[in-house]
Amino acid sequence: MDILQTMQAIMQPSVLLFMLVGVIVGTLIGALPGLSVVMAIALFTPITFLLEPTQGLAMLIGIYNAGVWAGGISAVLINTPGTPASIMSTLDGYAMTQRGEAGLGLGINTVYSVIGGIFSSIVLMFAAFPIANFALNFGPAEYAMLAFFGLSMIISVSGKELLKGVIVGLFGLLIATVGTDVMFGNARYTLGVMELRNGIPFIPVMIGLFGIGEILDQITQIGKEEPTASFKGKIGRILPTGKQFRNWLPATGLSAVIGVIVGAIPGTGGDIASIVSWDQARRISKDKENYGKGSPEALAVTCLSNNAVIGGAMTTMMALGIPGDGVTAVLIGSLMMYSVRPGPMMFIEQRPMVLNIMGLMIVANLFILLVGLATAKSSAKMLNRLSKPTIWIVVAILCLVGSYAISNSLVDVWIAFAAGILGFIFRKTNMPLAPFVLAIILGPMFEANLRRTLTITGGSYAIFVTNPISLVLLVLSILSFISAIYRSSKAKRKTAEEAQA
Amino acid sequence: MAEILIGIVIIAISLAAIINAQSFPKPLTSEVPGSAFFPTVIAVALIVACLALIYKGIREKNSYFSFKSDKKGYAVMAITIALTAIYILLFGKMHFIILTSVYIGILALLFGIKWQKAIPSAVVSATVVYLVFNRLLNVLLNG
Repeated sequence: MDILQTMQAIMQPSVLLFMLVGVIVGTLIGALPGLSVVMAIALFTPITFLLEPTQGLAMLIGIYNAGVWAGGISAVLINTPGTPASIMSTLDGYAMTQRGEAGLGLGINTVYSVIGGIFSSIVLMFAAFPIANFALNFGPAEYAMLAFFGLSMIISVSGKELLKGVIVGLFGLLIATVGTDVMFGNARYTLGVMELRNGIPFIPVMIGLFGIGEILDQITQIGKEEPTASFKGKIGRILPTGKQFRNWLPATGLSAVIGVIVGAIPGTGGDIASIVSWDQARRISKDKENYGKGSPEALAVTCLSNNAVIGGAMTTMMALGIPGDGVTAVLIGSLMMYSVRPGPMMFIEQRPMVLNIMGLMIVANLFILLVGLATAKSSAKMLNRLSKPTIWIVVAILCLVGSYAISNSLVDVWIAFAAGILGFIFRKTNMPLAPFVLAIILGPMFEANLRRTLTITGGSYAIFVTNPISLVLLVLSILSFISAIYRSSKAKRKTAEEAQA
Repeated sequence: MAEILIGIVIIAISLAAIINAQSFPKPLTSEVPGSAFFPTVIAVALIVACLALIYKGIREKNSYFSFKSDKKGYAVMAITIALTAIYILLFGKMHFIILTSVYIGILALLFGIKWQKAIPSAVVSATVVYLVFNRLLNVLLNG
């Protein structure tokens, strides 16, 4: 019955139409270097509120899946990743293009991205329910530690700039306290502005940080870069052979599993999944000496793993309510605008929506397969046509009108504008944005559950070590801090040694 | 210099947050954290971190804003910010298509697009945006 109802809901022509629109938007934004999937989701979320929930979700899921896949198009054709997840695809993909195998590169990108997406969607279907059932046992103490574990990822997503990442994360936590206190009901830092009583709205902040901030940063380089990205070669054969598909099974199978696991870990994304998959697959591959020199198998491995991340990230987001990556962090905000709070209760109170999301994930990948194979030859022309100034203007208008469209309020537009200037300053001064997103999403969850826990225990913190689930999450958080600090200092030492040499 | 400035600004914001938090209602018992607890702890942690950032800025003297070499880029960016602020101020007070056409047209000229392409594209784009958002998506736009 559930399956039938889900299929009826997602196979509506209007839902499929908005899914296609999402896939096309995701393709354009993912393929263009400098524009991110996070930006696309943030920009189009206000538009999706004006649609029915299933239609809106179809568009967002289409954008998400297509955006990650399409990053591989520019990685293969012009050696520039369209999204960070496609960084590793440049190594082998562009070498294939230089050999005259651009078409095969694009075909591998499409076919294996779809395989990764479908595999991880199936994992989502089977793993999300048991995880959500387990999480139903969580009380305030467990939720507080879960949020704390998610916040500990602020350190690992900060890269080499640990101190700046911590400052940005703490600043995000402070911003997240603006609004009405959940326990006492008093206003905090609202400056008398009624619209801030519900807190600083998340979507305009994301639109500003990732949309306006990015184009302001690009504008400062005006006249210095090529006005358009350009590919001038031939496309040629597109699909891998059956023999290639069989030979690559061990390596691609491994990368699928790695992609899903990495995606499920909060704070990680497609870039980490593709690096780890590429490295591990090379160890077991019979073609290891060609990895990094135009190996089609290596390209298949990276394309598969960075799309496999999506299902893993969605599993964590939907079952536990904490973001698996930057995109799911923004998606949490989008779902909350539909009055749906991701987490285990979603599987009880909004079961049809959960099933619809799972079904839409599969459909999105089927659309990508059709669109990807149909447009392989024309994607090069598309890359050549769009100039950066045109992109800047389109993004600016979508940011401003999109922010206004959320609730017909100019306050949202001003917030997006201010966040845009902040995002520009963060980018220029190497301050990472991901900690800010994590803090804004998880800060309220952490504070509310911490205070609830202390109210129940009469102020005692002992529960966080006597409760087994809380203790495990606390230990994981501490390990996450230590490992991230160790990796950061190792990277700094290596940079210093290279500078001396 | 940028790190020092950022550190000072965030410290100022944090101090304001701590002072303002003193006016939040206090809990009935001292064991249970009140409204002021979390923002105060975060603000104190921010002040400590920003002092470390200021120290780093003084010691390393990193430069991030290359105003001299990217003079044109920063000038265009500053004008874009000013234009956008004016656009938002006039949003809702002027006809959307007229205001947006002018905004897009000036941006296009600023970014180096020739006027023969910029002006017609601006009018067409503004009209398309109005039709999509106002007629299709029912967003209230002045028109």
